[in-house]
Amino acid sequence: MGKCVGNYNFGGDAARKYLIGASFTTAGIIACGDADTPDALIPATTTTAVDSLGITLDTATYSATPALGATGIVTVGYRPGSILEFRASGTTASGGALSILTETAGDVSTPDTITATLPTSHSMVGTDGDVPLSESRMILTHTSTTSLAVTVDFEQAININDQFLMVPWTIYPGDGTDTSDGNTNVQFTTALDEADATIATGTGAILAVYDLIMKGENKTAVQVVLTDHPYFVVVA
Amino acid sequence: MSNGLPKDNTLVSRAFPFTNFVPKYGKLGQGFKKWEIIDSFAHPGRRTTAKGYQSPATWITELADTRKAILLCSLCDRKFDASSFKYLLRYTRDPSGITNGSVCNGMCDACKQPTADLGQGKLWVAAELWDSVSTNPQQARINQRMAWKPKKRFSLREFIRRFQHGQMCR
Repeated sequence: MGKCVGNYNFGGDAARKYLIGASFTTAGIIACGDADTPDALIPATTTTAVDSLGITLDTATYSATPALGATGIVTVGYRPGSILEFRASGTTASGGALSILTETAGDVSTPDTITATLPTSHSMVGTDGDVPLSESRMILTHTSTTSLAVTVDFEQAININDQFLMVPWTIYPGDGTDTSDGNTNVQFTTALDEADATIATGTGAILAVYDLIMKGENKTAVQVVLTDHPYFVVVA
Repeated sequence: MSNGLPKDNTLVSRAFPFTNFVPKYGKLGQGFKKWEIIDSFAHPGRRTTAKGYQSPATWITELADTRKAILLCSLCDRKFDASSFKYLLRYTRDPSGITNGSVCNGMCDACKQPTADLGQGKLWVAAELWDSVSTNPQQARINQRMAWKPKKRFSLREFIRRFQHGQMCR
């Protein structure tokens, strides 16, 4: 369910059909070149998106010995700068709901501390319940499984049974490293069409997080831009 | 003696009996760029050679049968009956307003010309895949209608119209 929702250079999209080197069983996943081999297009993996060209718009079955007229081809929206949106899944498979974190202690400190059963190493918290959904806070360092302090208070007080969501991505560069920054990594679900929100921040394919859509447990999404796009390369 | 050239020293095109490899870029062995390698795997579209020629209609039908996305220029788009194939138009947001969100360019699957030169292209995707690959502008309109409405103002003209309508209905 990955889809192109615009381009940071504006304008429409561009699409082209490519030969494939592996099956694309799901539409809306990232297609990658295999330029070093070189070989035809292959799907991204859950943790890599090397030479990522764009998002697929249909499905295709690969065969090394195709029948006449049945060579596998897949349509790819390949324009550089495309903003690709992936639904956040609360499981490693697609379709899972995000885990809701339920406050157990109420507002006990300033700045706010969320007391709940928490995933470790997530970098963005959004809210549900009393605190308006639009409020979210970025977390730089977090390892506790029981409480979480935010740097800036929420506008409204946290009450017992307030609900929160956490995702492992941020919309701002954190420490700037590829391996720990929530702004530069997204891991995909096993079907590759959604983003796996159960992972620790800083793991997964190297991409640029463009925006986060915090819309509750089932409609939260992460928008990314492909940073290893072949058309960005100027010199081989 | 003749050296193979005409006497006025003009160059003559000749077929040489060997293949000459020339480095593509400045340095020998620099190789192809990644995008050139990936471009080489672009599908050429329908066959237009004498052997195995496909008409545009045949190729479009073949794409539709295998539920592939179909990119058409504005001129070919008029000839494509999307509903009969159960295809829907793919929408992509364009906040600049330059396009209306349905523009997608590339090589037209029917006439094989650049769609940007033929009034911009449109991408049709199989209806069963539409939710997966297209944003839904309709949802935004639904949300907008639900968001708010202007305060109802008293209109004398509307009051009289309704009153007269009521009189006539008696």
